[in-house]
Amino acid sequence: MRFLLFLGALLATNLGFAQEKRIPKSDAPNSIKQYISGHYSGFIKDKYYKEVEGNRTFIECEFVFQGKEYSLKFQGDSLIEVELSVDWQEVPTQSQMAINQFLNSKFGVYRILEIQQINPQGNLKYEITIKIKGGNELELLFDKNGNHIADIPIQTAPIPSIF
Amino acid sequence: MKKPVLFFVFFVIFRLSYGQNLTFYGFLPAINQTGPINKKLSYNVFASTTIDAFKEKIGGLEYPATDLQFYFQPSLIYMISPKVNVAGSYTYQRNNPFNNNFVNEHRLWQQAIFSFPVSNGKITARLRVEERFIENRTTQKYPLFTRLRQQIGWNKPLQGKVLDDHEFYLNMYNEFYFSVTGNKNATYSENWSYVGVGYQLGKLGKIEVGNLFQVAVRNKQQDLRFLELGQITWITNFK
Repeated sequence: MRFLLFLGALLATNLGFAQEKRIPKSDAPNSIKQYISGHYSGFIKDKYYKEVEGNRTFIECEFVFQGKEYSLKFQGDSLIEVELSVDWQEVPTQSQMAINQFLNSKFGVYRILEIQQINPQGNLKYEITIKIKGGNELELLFDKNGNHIADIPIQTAPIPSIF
Repeated sequence: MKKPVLFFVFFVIFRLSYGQNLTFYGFLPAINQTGPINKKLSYNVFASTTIDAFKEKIGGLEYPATDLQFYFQPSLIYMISPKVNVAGSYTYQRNNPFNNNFVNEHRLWQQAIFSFPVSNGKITARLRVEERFIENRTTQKYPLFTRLRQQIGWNKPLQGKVLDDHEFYLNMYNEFYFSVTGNKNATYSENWSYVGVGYQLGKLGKIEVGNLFQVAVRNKQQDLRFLELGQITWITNFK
């Protein structure tokens, strides 16, 4: 009986991770669609998501423009973040060296899976996803000079399995 | 030379005449809820019932339509990595739940499951070890039976690389059952094959519809029971 109560208490825990759900294009605000059309003429493969973090709601639009994958995040009508997928070669050499030095010292063996530039026209940062020994994936945030800022928690879902 | 051949022919005819495979058709509704406990630990609750939907008469014997099984499976899952999980469970199964000849089973199991991407989809390999305490209605005891299960599965989104809301996906698996200890009809005692199509609803989870084909060795003479089931599963991740 005590075990069941303990299990019940654990199950009632609220983790507070951001919840992101895809929404139809028709549900995305016109102001956002107009912004994207005006600044990224010729974009393709657009998808829209609604993200709730605590009591804040964001609309995120992912699309492909000139062969690159973009993600724009809006709060209301305000653009608050631009993410652009880049290759490692597009990161300045000095920044590459700083990032490599940090990753080598902290993880030893790792593989870079994805690099995103955040706010490339403004306060530039790099969000880098790596795979480390043991198979776990991590997201880390670096400034434009390659200095480590923060680790970003990734919520991993269990592998689906029934019966 | 002729005698062994004749003997073999008679043996086959005898076997075909007296061998009795049974085939039943029905439905299997199921629900499956998975939720996080912390970063590494999740829980899962799976429940189903297997319904033999049609009355059959085979070999002079009548088999009424009936509920064949109730199955309740809560489990804890530990995510070693995104590609490797382990889990453990206490599972309750009741065969012929609404009949006088019902049989209770209390089951413990442990499993490891591996998942890796292939092409646009994922292959999963699952190995499960079961300790089954199956009721003996005569002695009122629950002797122990152990079993190994090996499942190989494949699933893939049908619209794009990633499964988004309001999109379809394909799911299929084959599972081999090997009875290890305890009274058994065969070592390779069961085989389940499943293929289904699912739809990502959004915050309400997923609905999956498919065909589950179960084969079980039903006696020492190696006669088989086939179950052709239409399975419908509601899969949720409510937090």
